[in-house]
Amino acid sequence: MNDMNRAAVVNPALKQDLLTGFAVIGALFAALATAQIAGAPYLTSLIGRIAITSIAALSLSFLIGQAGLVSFGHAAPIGIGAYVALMLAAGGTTDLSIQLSAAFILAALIALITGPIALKTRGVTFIMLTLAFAQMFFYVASSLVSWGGDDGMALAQRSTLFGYQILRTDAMLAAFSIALLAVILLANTWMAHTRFGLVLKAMTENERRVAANGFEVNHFLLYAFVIAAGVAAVSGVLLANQANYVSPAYLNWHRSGELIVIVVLGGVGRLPGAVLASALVILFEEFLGHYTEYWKLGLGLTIVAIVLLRGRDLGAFFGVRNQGARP
Amino acid sequence: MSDPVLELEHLQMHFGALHVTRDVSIEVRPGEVHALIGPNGAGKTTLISQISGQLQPHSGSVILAGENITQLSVAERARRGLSRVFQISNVIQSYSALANVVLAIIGTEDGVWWRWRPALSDTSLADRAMNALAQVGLADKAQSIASDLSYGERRALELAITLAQNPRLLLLDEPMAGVGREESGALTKLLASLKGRVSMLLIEHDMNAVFALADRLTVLIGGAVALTGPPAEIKASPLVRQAYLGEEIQAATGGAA
Ligand SMILES: Nc1ncnc2c1ncn2[C@@H]1O[C@H](COP(=O)(O)OP(=O)(O)OP(=O)(O)O)[C@@H](O)[C@H]1O
Ligand SMILES: [Mg+2]
Repeated sequence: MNDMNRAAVVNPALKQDLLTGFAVIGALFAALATAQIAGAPYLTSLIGRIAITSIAALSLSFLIGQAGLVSFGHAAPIGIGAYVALMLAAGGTTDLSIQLSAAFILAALIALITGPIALKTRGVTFIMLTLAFAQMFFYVASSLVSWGGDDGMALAQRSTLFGYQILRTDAMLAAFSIALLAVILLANTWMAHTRFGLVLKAMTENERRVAANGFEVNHFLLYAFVIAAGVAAVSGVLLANQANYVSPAYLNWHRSGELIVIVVLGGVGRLPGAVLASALVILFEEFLGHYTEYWKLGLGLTIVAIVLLRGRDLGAFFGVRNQGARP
Repeated sequence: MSDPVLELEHLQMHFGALHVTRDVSIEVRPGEVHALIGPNGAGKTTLISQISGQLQPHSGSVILAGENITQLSVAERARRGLSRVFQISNVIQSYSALANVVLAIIGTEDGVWWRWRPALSDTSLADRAMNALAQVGLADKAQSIASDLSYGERRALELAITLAQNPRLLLLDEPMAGVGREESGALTKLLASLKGRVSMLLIEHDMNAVFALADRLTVLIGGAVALTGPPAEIKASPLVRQAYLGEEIQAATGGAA
């Protein structure tokens, strides 16, 4: 094999994806620093929310874009993560290393049970099944009377890390969330370029070919479903800390829908795009939400306008390229 | 004589009222090119699908190198060395030719941890893939996106995909269909060069290709095996000539048969 062929094989897309990811993370940190210097606590907490929502959106974007699975129940693992934080904190276990792992593992285990059932189907039926499972967990959460039932409950105390109160202020929480987002963004980008990513992406286009190549399609889809649930649960732990409160509202189907909107807005499969779209949706909610109950109408109109004007989506708008082991 | 690579034992299958596979028993011997011929709708593709696992027979068994694989999934059969070229071209359209072959190679890898290693930047994978592409004459198209390839090139790509998997048995469902005269000649040559190294079950309507390649033929009519034997025997059979071959054989043999 000569060197020319070799050189052509190395994937330049990976470098590009990493650079874009770093740029997005850098921008978030810069915004946080600016908010701190300007003494704008409100802005600080907003940035924290953007980072946390981005983690959830990222995991769904991976699921939809890389695995071709549109889950309408992604609020469930987020809510599960939040309840894990609530319950552990109440029992005095505040360490993030335990809370985050417990949330990840519990949500992943639950996905390991619901996943194979939902994966017997595809398309609209899959969407409805994931919604149904999420609604089930919504009602379970509502019925946890000792944990506040419908109303939910305040978090006993914010999480710590190895004894340090690392989430004590909103700025620290935001910084920690952005750092975690960076790790997940990197892992996700890298995964898209592994053998696993190559197989997953191929499945979204042609399951028959991939099966004939010797891959058990549903196993791969289940891995993706389980990983996405685990990562969503991580964002749930942060969300509980951010709001200092946990309620069944986190598992509401509105939340699942909003995440799908974010993913579509950011460009399906475009990981940094999901971060940009999270920022946009949260800013909309904040600023339009102050003027009108109908801020979602404004959001909807903006999405329509963007799609019509650009013929594409927000990720493309900002020049974020499609992710995946794209040769 | 060594054991057959593939044995089909009394396969039966129905699509509703349509009895599409009727008590089919065939064997493919190691290194042999076994051609499966028969008129349109005879049930050839359906039979191949039962071998590769997309369809389940209602009774009977499929035995690969002595192992009963009737209950295994498509993927499990593929990992045991069954590789299929589909009648309707079937590649990952948005991937480059190279990535399509790389995907096939990693399908043969064992274990779990390999999955977390890089794919397209792995030069040893790429080397193997380039080898397979070179075998089918597609080396200079390695970076082309599959949807940009000509139909004939896509058929060749599919062959590269299957070759890269070092199959025990190649299932070829009309590899020449829709391919130009020149490319079809090249494809026949390529298959001939593989003869002896890879066992093949070949469905093909192009009788020139069939008689150039096949060691033995099975004629399928109305879902049942009408006859199995070496080419000379098939050509000579009045039953087959009447039912199916006729002019095509005369064309293939210059009217001498
Ligand atoms: N999924 C299906 N459902 C119902 N009938 C089917 C199905 N697939 C194939 N058939 C029917 O089964 C019969 C055999 O089809 P098959 O595709 O195996 O034929 P073939 O020998 O490959 O023909 P050709 O030479 O045209 O490719 C045909 O009558 C076809 O209409
Ligand atoms: Mg056919």
